[in-house]
Amino acid sequence: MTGQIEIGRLLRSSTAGFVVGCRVGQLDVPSFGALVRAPLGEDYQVYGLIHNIKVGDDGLVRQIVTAENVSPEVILDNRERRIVPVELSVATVGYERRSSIHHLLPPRPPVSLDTIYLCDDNDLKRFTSAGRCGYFRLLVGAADLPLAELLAVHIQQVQAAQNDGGAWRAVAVQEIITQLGEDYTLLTSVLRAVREADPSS
Amino acid sequence: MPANPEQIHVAFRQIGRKLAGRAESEQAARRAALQLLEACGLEPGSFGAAAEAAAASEPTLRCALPLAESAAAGYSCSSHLRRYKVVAVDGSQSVPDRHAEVLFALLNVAAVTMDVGSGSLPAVDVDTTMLFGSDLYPEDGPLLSEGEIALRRDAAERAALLRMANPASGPSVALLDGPLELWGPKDLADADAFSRALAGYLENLLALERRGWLVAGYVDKPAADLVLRLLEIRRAAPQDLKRLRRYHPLRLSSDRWLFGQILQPRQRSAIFAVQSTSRAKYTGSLALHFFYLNVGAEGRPAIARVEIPGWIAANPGRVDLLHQVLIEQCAILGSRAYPYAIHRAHESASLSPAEIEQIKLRLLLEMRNQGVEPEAASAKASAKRVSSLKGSA
Repeated sequence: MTGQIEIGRLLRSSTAGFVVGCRVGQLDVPSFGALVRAPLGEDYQVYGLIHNIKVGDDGLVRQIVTAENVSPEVILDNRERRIVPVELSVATVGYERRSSIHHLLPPRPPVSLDTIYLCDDNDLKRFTSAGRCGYFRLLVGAADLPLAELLAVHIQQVQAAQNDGGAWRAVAVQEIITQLGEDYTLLTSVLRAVREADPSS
Repeated sequence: MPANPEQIHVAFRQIGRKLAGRAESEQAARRAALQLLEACGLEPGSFGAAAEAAAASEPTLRCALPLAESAAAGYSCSSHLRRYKVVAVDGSQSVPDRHAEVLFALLNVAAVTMDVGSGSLPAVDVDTTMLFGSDLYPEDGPLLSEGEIALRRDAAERAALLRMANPASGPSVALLDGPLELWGPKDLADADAFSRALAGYLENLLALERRGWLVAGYVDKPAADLVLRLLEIRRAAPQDLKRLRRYHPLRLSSDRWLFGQILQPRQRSAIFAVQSTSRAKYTGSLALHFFYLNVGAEGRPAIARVEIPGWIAANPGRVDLLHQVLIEQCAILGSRAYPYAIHRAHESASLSPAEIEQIKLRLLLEMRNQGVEPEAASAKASAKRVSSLKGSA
């Protein structure tokens, strides 16, 4: 837990997930599939994966897009000065309590305006090395997630952080097969996406 | 409780009967107005003389005065301006509510500065003044009226314009939302308040002139038919001039319609001077002038009135620069053209009811922290609040 890259503050939450708001200017850091954490006090934090990034609009932005030429000053003004938040939707994948990581839904979700941080490679390794990808169950069970793309990007990011010759990836793929074995269509789709995202394939 | 549906139904039928004959009258008024405007373009002297003569007997007369440019023609500006600076200001206010727990007022003035062509982030400056306690009763007089608070806001807006306008190093335009002229409310307890505000404002305008800024008031969808009034006066018979306040034969036409016929998209009208009681106050380089500007598209004119001081009206280069800046600013908002910087100033200055309520709650808390117990809200206000909550459970 060495990184302290703040990506925004919590807008709303439930046990299964939360939505983070940030300014457009903060958007260069978080990415789809990234692991984030919400520290909620001493020895307790919730982890989640970003599964959707939504850039909001308002009447003025809609009007400006109809103009022929939009100057750099107007673009900056709307991105930096006006209150048009970017929403990052996060699926909860576990929590940490007293230095112990659990791939389970947390006892309580983060609350409004809690600061959300991006996890660095060390956080990612710690979280994914705890257990055998049990948190995939939470993703598979969640409704309306782009499951294939989310798992593919997540596995790609973890593989880069673990740098273990593909050992963790093999465990992850086995876990996907176990969990989706009864849904052949979805399993095929996920495995194709995972292969697509593997730089060595 | 909604409006009485039976009475509304009767009113609609009556309006419908009146509207049946209106289209024809409207067309007749428009035709007559257009003919008179074309005549004004040919012989502006006789129109100006008629207005001056009418003003001699009716000093409160407010109308346009034609100058050198043809009133019946449109004027284009030079092409694309690469870099310019624009400052726009706007303000809003919250007035004391005697039914609330505490009396306070807010003035909120926003100034937006854009250095267009620099690629830099525009600056937004918001200046909030809270009036509380003795601030609301200047010189132990009565409670500040809505008009007095509006005057203070107008004066603060104009002062902000000067504050934000550093000496100009290139094309620099300062824009006000609404007329350039400072309007005086009728409900002033302090009779000198308007004179003081006006004197300060005129000094500010002169300072802006010295700093090399172009200043304009932008009036969207203008309703004061100053040119139409000039045409009416030219057409008036001697007996009509005696009852000028009730003489409006062209009322069914409008300046917006007239110049919507004449001006192509992006064109401005001729520059007019203004005949009004303000002529005695805005003198020399500050004399009030205006032109109309078509910021609409082909077949969909959108006419705005742009008020300018004499130092701009007298200089074609300055008029052209202002014209270009306004066209550029309006183009930013696409199909519903309006100067972007003014819109942003308006957006930044607006006080929402929720924001005012929050400020009130913090004020009540501060009072209690200081051992001052606020009054309760009036029973009327409480009842209204309860009514608005119904059905929310």
